[in-house]
Amino acid sequence: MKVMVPKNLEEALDILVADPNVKIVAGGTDILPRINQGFESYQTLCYTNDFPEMNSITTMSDERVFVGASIKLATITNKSCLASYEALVDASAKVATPQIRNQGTIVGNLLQENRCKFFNNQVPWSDINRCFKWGGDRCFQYLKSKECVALFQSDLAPALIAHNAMLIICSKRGKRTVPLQNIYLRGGKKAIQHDEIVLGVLLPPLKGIERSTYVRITERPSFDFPLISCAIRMRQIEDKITDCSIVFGSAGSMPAIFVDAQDTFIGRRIHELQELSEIVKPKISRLIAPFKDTRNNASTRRNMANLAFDDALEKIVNRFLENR
Amino acid sequence: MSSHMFELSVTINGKDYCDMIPSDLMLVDYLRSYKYLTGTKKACNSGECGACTVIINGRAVYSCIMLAVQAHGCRIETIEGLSDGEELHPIQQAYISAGAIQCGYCTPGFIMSTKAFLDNEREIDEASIKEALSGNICRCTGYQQIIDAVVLASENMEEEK
Repeated sequence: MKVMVPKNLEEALDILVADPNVKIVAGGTDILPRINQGFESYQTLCYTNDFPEMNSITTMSDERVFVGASIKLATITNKSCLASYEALVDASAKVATPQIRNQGTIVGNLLQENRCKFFNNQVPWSDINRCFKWGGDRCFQYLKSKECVALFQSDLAPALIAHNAMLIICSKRGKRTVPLQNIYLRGGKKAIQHDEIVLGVLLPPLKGIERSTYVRITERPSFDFPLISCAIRMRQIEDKITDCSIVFGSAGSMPAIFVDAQDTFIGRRIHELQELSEIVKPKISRLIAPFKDTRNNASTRRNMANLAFDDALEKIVNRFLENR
Repeated sequence: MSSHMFELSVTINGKDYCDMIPSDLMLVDYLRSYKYLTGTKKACNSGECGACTVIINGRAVYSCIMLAVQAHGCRIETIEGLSDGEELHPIQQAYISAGAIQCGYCTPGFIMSTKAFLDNEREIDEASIKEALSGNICRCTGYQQIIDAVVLASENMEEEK
């Protein structure tokens, strides 16, 4: 394996165009363990971490905030201009361990591979080469599945989707800006072309009284991937909820937006939310895939989603009450 | 543009180095095999155990899941850089005094995580110590002695100021 170290973004894009098999590495905390463990191998990696276009946090003239793709997770928790994006700060502080947060980048977290016990916990004698992730023809989670159903594990994605974040992506063809949730496709795929590099995340300005939170359930409070997670963002104007985003992470192979609850909460007052939540909670189970792993079964996962939703709702209500 | 080899410039424990290395060399292998700094341990090789922890530009990182090229131009601190000749660093002394070492394989990683924590944090309590050391695993001590060692090191370093 060789690692190309381009001097600038233009050179990195040239490398990607010249060789369709080159894989991008930035923080490396997702891809390098799999390479070390022999789960994946590449002829060429392209290191894209030190370009000025991807290394800044900037508040723009229209109050949108740009967070460069190479910004480390540990940096996000310390930046005052990001403090109001509470769900993002909550999520960044919960990822893995201090070492991973010092190495891993914001976009690396968003684009990390989905995980599954049959792939990530494989042993040399397992029949894993038949798995979709190995280029095989089956998913060991559901043998009838036509695609990989490995679990979505990003902590930041639900938080950033709740904040209506956009990704800025560039290639030799130019730049494009897309809503973050549109990047995630079925089967763990991402709607990003091989010759494209994500420059960063664009956060819309906060309006009115806007509060958010991110809650996750794990076996251990740190150094663990989420079993289920829930991000909620709400905007309050004149005592009423005027905008609301609720997103579950680790619900299946992609983030799940809880549209029923969003529609129910908009137009209501903060003190009504917990009572209304009892009406919408039975609909959560439809969003949660019956994924099997070494930690819990499908019904436990659904119960945990209810708990994560309750916890997130309680936290955001308390945050609104702090404003009074 | 690089080919298979890369000219790496780093500062390790205060000294500048420049080496031609394979571009896919991991930082832990560079430290151990090129610089003979074998205090940094290679164990899980997947960023899970923390034995390979070193400090780069003041922050603790896993050197087993970091390419050496990622450290280009950086300031690296390893366990070898802590003691001053025969005189141990207060953190090393605290680990001994608190009985926080048994087999010792995880200790360099724990000490480097402790140093990054004590260098950067102002508020030190049991919860923040546990969080700071959550990326390191010890199978011998049961962790309480390690937490005691961090508290002791913090007190000793405060007295020295």
